[in-house]
Amino acid sequence: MAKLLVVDDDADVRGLLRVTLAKLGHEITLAARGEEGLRLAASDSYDLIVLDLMMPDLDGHEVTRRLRADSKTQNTPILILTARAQTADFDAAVEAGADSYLAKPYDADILYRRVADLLKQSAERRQAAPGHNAQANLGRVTTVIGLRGGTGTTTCAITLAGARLRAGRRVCLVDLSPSGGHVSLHLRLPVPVSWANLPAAPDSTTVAHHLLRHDSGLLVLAAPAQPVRAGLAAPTFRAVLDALLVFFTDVIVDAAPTLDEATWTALGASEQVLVVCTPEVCAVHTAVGILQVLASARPSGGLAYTVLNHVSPEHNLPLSAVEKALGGPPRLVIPYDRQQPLALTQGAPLIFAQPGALLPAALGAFALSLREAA
Amino acid sequence: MLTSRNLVNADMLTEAHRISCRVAVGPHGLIGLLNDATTSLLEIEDVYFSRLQQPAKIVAQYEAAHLVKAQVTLIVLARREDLGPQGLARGGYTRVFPVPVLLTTPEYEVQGTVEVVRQFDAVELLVAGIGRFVQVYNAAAVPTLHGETSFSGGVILVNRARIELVAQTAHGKAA
Repeated sequence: MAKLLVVDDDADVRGLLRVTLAKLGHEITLAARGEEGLRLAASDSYDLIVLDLMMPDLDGHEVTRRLRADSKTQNTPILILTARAQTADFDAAVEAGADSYLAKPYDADILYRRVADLLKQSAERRQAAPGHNAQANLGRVTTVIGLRGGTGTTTCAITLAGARLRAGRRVCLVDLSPSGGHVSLHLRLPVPVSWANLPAAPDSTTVAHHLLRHDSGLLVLAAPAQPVRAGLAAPTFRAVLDALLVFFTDVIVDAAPTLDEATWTALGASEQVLVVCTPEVCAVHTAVGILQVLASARPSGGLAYTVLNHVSPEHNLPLSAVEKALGGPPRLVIPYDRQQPLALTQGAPLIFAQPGALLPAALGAFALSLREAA
Repeated sequence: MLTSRNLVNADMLTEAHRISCRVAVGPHGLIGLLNDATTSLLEIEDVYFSRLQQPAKIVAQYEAAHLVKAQVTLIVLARREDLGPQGLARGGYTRVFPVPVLLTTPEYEVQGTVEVVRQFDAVELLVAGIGRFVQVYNAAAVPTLHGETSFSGGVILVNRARIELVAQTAHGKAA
């Protein structure tokens, strides 16, 4: 999610903030002094700076003034978090350039909301800026779909997400399947919460509370572990996407194996759609059908790519037959990787366990080339 | 006996200064330290020092300092829990009633509520009561010479020896 810099001279407060904010999936960097905070802010980019007022070398007001004087940090949201919480302190902080103010001791829920609000406002400001490319700073959606089961769609989605994560992107993987989610199974993630627990109109804090963290750092909005009768409603999933796009540079959707409301919403919001099929008659037929539907009825434009995934070493249609059915060569052919079944059994996706293996090498390079071309 | 070291954040207001600091309190809380008759000093940590005319501007910082209790006019706390064990803080576990009041010292006007057992009694509050400080809850204080500034908190402790006026500001039922 977002990159946050916490500047506070109290080690206990720093530790507490790290734990509290990491629960939302944010990446936290800590600084114990104002000078150190300024140095870190100058050397890296942060989405939000949480700043104490009372610090020994430079107080928070002065740190705020210097951050605002630097072109690199002049627009970075600053949240003052301090025990010095009188109206005069608030006024002085705002005058120095802070965006918001919260008194210690703070309520964690209020902190979550304040952070989420600041990140959202910041994203909206960037979007509204003159000459701004609306897509440049907000995250982008990629949907991976294969309506025919057994095509390795989930494997492709995880590999794609892992490749972008390894490239330094902030990635969230969403499993839309109402038929018992497989992303959590591939990643061996327990599912204490899933999208089925979301309210009808979730805000960004609520969505953040429903994300699961894989050891790799990948954040996942999981599908319910058991099959449910219906997928996410379109308005709910739209709200989920809006929330995720504030925090993540890349949202990868492992689409449901049916064109339900949420999948349709994902397709409409996607910059790229990967249609995954295997070289067998039914899968290719289904892929052709998906491509036709996308070409005729997709709510908004983005590019669709076919991915031919060899999930088995034998009984494959010849490539020429696949090309003929698709009306051209698939955008990517993934060779059979004998290590993939073992990786699935072990719950260790190849993109994390063996990134040089055939499947992650092929799909990973493709995923990054797509991202750069977009 | 087990002892604990809790740190309480406080704004200490003197005649001319605002001192934001932390106080290490024991099992009897801040109120226990203030009422400790064996010392006239209060040890404070992480001390940030401002002048009242610019209360948000930090002019100096010290790791530790001592305050003369008698010279502290007000102590502003964010939460009443910071006072210490509830029984000690209000002198017992008797049922109490809130009474809105105005108190003045030579430098401040303080408005909030005091808690009384039966009815408001200025003598009880100012003369007969125990403790060096009077507790005013949900309070706001304005420095008389700097009316544009105010300090507020879940509780403000007012130095009893410096109070010059106390008035009940509304006559609610308190009996």
